[in-house]
Amino acid sequence: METDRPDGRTPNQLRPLACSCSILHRAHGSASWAQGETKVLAAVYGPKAGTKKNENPEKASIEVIWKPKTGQIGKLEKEYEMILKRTLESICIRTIYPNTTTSVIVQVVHDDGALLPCAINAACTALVDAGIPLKHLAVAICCSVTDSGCIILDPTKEEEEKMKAYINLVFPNTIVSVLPERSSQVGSEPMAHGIMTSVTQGAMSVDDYLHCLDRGRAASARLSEFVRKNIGPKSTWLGRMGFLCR
Amino acid sequence: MEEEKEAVMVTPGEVLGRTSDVKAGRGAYAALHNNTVYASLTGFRHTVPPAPDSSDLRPTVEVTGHKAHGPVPQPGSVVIARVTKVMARSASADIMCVGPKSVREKFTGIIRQQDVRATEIDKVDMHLSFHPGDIVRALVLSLGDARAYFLSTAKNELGVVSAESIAGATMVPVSWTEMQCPLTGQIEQRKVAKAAS
Repeated sequence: METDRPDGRTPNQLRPLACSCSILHRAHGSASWAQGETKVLAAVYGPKAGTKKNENPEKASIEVIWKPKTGQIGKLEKEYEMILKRTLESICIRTIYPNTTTSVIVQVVHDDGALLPCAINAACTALVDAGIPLKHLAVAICCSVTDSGCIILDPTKEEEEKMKAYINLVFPNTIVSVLPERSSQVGSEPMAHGIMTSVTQGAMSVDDYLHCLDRGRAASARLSEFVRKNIGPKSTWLGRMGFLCR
Repeated sequence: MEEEKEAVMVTPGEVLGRTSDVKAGRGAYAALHNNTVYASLTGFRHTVPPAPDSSDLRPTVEVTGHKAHGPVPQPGSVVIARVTKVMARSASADIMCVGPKSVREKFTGIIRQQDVRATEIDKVDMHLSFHPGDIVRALVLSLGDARAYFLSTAKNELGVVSAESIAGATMVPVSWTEMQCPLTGQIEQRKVAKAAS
């Protein structure tokens, strides 16, 4: 089921991606991530000494501060902070430096839809840039369901407002092996079919949800490829890519 | 076993080997649920052969060439700290270096009275051991409480390595418990670190 989109993209096509690292000199790690007109800047400071009152001092803690483009932080931003915190805690190896706090500051530069996935991708890239040990990378994607039941990826703000529901999905990066046999499996276990975070807005059927998962997973494989190609032991990098996920 | 000639770029989560074949070094971690070693940093895969006298014959796989975050004090690491406050039963210090690397963030340490020296620990006078501004070499004992790490100077090679006299000159150690001002000749009490020979 095809649908026309205002910007001429197909339902499975992502907006052009742009990413650059180490753009803030005072931060220990930083990254800017843009998906079309949506752009987010993330900065990482730490590990710093001590944890907050309600945190477990036997593990490192992650602190997320969300800075909206304009105005005060509201309920939605608080929710985004919490989602981002939980997502980042699940990818960081928190037992290495107990009783420390790593601060992640997310600054929204422009919001043109799929803001949370963009922020998650930026924060994850900034953590890599800061040299924080991670279990794996996280790649986030937004899928939305139209009134006619068509699923589209990476909606713009205009599209989001017309959708009956949309879902923000975070997947672990598709794990590759650098072993000589280049096996995609370890033992008999498939490598990465997990889902780390799923945040739904609006109502959708179970079938729609499962279709979104499939589409999201396909897109996340391409995003993983983009991230892997572009992040490296360099001080700065810039990548641009537009995707059509089959 | 020779080191790898070709550097392979890896990102966090990439498989570096099986725990039966390799050990996880810096920038890598072992997942116990599937006995696999994964990368935890972005950099180049690097295999270090085992030491000739080692009983474990597995090579160590590391990820090198990455941008490292600032060093973090850990139990057992030797730190350089500046004393900020001296009280009757403890002294506070700001950790400046962990091993050879300077810290990016402020870490606070506490030297308790019982951790100043190894002998006669109940007779230690904190004010005769440290003064604010002294640079000390200390060992991290533990994470301590939420506010500070517990530090110890209870070894010959640990203690004050640099101190200023009242006259403002850098003092010279004359014994394990005394330092002398080169300008005035005045002797001040300190828990002096034994100079490396």
